Amino acid sequence: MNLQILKDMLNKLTLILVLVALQLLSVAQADGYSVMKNVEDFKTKAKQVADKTTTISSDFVQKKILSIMEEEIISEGKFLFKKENSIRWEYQTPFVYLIIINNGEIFIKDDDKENKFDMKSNKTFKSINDMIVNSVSGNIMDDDNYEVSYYESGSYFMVQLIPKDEKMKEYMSTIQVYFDKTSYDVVRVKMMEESEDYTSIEFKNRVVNSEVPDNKFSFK
Amino acid sequence: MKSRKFKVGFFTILLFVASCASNPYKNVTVVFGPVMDDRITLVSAFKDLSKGKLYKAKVEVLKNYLSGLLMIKEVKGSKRVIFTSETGLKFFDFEFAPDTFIVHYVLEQLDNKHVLNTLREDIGTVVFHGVENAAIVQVKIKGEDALVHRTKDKEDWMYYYYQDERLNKIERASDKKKKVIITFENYEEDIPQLINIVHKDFKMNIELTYIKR
Repeated sequence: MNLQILKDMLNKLTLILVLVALQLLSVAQADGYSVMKNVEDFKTKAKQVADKTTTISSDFVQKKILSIMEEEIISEGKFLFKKENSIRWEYQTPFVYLIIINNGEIFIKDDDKENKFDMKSNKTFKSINDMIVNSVSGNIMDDDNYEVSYYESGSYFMVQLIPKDEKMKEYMSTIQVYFDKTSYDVVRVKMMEESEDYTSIEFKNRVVNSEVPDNKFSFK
Repeated sequence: MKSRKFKVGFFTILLFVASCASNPYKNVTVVFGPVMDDRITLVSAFKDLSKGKLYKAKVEVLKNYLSGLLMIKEVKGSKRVIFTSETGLKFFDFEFAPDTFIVHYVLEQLDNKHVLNTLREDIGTVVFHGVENAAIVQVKIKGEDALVHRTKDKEDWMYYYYQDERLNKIERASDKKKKVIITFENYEEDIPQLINIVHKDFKMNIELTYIKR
């Protein structure tokens, strides 16, 4: 067993796993969706809402669909966002897992194991972080790392992102971000793989601009 | 550097002492077998895999740590094992088919012959891959009250330990040394709640904790 190779690989792997942790925003088929009629109007309004958003606190439900097994893995927890780019994902059930992104650093806590990474050293990392922050805050349309297309249904606007980078495509072939049609809030993100598997994250009980203490994003 | 040298020296001594230690399989006596019929059978840790079993997985290799979720399920006669991160990123998708092993997906960073072979062996052992056709003997090992089942996997001996008709340990070994020890603990409703895979020849542990859904 070549341990050094394995070690290097695990290091890289940890980075990637964090990347995807960030992307926690995925979605689905464009069933019932048609091409958005007024894209400029949507972009303006979504931006207005995003500009006014300083904090988001929300419950989330993550579904991982393993199609070949006909299984889904459902996990739930709490999500926090604070401008400019502090994020906290706290999985609470059926397992406990915490990710904090703050000031270009990523912190992961898994039981008694704690890990910290610097995001600045990794370009892909940074672009994914930007994508997350932009998605959550409704500014996703401005990210030129993706080919962006716009759709709508009776209740939702949907922005579909296809990564331009081939590496990125291996992890996620398509990302869909769903906005509520009245509030322009992001309600769901779906990340699809090249297989039929996907990860979907739904935001529930969303509260905007409540007091979110800074220490929610601090770590040792 | 000094402490590194010290460590290397220390481990060399440890290895030396370990290799001088008594061969755990010195007193193995074949009591019965080999047979390929129903007189001796190996019973898997999993009674029923028609519904997927989900485990929280913690992998430690040297000083690196990786955690995620491992799903095991029987699909069309194969045992399918998919490992993802907690956040949904897929690490690998393995199929242990009756006569073959298929890697349906592996994350680029894990796509290495050594890594894949180790994972294939470890996880294959947990899901009893290839055991159906193995010739089984029962052996008496000094210090063990019950007889132990033994098969051969390529160059390695595989020892299966049962307690109260439940699988509680599998050892992969050479003629002289233990290489991998897998324990199955805390059975509830015919599902082991804790599975531990420990490598003796280098630092690698996999801990699987059952997740009730």
